[in-house]
Amino acid sequence: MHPAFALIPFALATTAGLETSAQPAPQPGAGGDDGMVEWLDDYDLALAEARRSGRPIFLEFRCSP
Amino acid sequence: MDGIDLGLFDYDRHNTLYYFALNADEQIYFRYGGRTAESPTSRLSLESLEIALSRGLEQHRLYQQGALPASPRPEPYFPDQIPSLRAKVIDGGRCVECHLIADYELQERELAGSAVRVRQMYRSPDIAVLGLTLDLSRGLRVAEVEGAAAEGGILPGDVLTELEGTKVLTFGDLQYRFDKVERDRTAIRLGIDRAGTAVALEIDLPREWWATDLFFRYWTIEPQLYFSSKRLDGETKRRLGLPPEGFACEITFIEPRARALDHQQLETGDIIYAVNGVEISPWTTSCERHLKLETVAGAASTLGVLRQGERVEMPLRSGRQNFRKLATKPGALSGAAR
Repeated sequence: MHPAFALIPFALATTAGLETSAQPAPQPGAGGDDGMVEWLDDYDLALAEARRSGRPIFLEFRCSP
Repeated sequence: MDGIDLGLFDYDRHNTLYYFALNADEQIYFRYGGRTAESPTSRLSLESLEIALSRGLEQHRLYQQGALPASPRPEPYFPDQIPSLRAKVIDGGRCVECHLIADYELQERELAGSAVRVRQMYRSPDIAVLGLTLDLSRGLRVAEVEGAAAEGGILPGDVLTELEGTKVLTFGDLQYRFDKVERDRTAIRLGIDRAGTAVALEIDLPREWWATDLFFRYWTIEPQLYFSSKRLDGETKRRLGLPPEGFACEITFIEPRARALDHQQLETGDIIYAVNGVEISPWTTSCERHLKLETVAGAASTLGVLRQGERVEMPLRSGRQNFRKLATKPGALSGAAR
C-alpha cells in the first residue's frame, strides 16, 4: 500500500457539467488540451492556486504503486 | 502523508482511495470514498463521482456567494505527533502509508490502555445493517428497504440527506458520519428527501450494528484467534444451563497453525462459554468478538469450555499479525466502552 495524494482545482468540467471559461494558457492543476488532468502534489501550492483561480480543490489520497 | 493535517483530513485510513473537495479556506464540501470488506472500490463508481462533484460545485457556488455557513476547523494533527510512527517510519525516511497511521495510532492507544476497540478497531459500519440498499449511481437514493429502516419509515425512492443532523452529500459522507455515532447508541436520526419534502426519521440500531469485517485491517491490533465459531441460539444455551444473553459459541474450525504454535487445545465442537470468568458481554453475543474486544493481542486468556458436556478450563493465547507491532505490555487492556 503506497500512499500518495494529489490535489487539483476542479478541472472536471465535462464530468461535473460545469461551464469553464477559456484560458489563455494551462494553469497548474487545470486540464490540458488533451483532456488530461495535471495533478499537483503540493498542498500549499494547490491552496494558493485555488485562491487565485476561485476554483475548489479536489484532493486524492491514493494507495497505488 | 507526513505533512498532511490528519485533523482536517480525517477518514478511515484503510480506504485505498479517498477524496475530498474543499475550498481555499479549507472548508470541506464532501468526502468521496468508503469501502466494504468485499473490495476497496465496492462503493465507488464514475456515476456516483459525477454526482458528488456536481454537489460539490453547488456548495462552492454558495461559498462564492458568501452563503456557505462557516465550519470550525478541526484541531491540527500531524503524523509526526504519533511517536511510534515517527520513530519507525518517518525518521527512517520511509513512506507514511495511510494505513500505518491507523495501525500505530491504535497500537499506542492499546499500550496506553486508552484504546476503544468497539469504535477504533471496528471502523466504518455499513449502513446496510439498517436494512438499506442504496442505488449509489443515483446518489444516496434508497433502492430497497427492509428491517430497521423499513420499521423506521424509510421508503424506496427516499434520498438520504442528513445523519444525526449533519448534511451528507455522498456515500463517503454517510459512512464517515455513521462511523462517528457512539457505539452504545440504540437509534439514530436520519434526514431524507421524499419527493422534495424534508422528512426526519429515527431508526433503531440493531444489536452489534457497529461490527465490521476486520480482514483488511489485519495490521491493526486485532488479536488473532485461529478458530472460527458459531453463536449458540437461546434454546441451546438454556438447555446447557448457560445465560441466554451470554456469548457462548461452538467451535466450527481450528486453524492448523494454532496447533503448530501451541496457542490452544480447542477442538471442533467445543463450546466456549466464558473468557477469564466472564460469560456476558455488554457488546456482543459472540465469543470471538468478545475476545477481539477485550483481550490484548498476544496475551493469554483462560477459557471456560463445555466439552462433551463437561465444564473444563483451558488456556488460549492469541496472536499478533504484524512484524511492525510494538511490544505488548501485559495488562494494557483496552476498554471497549463506546
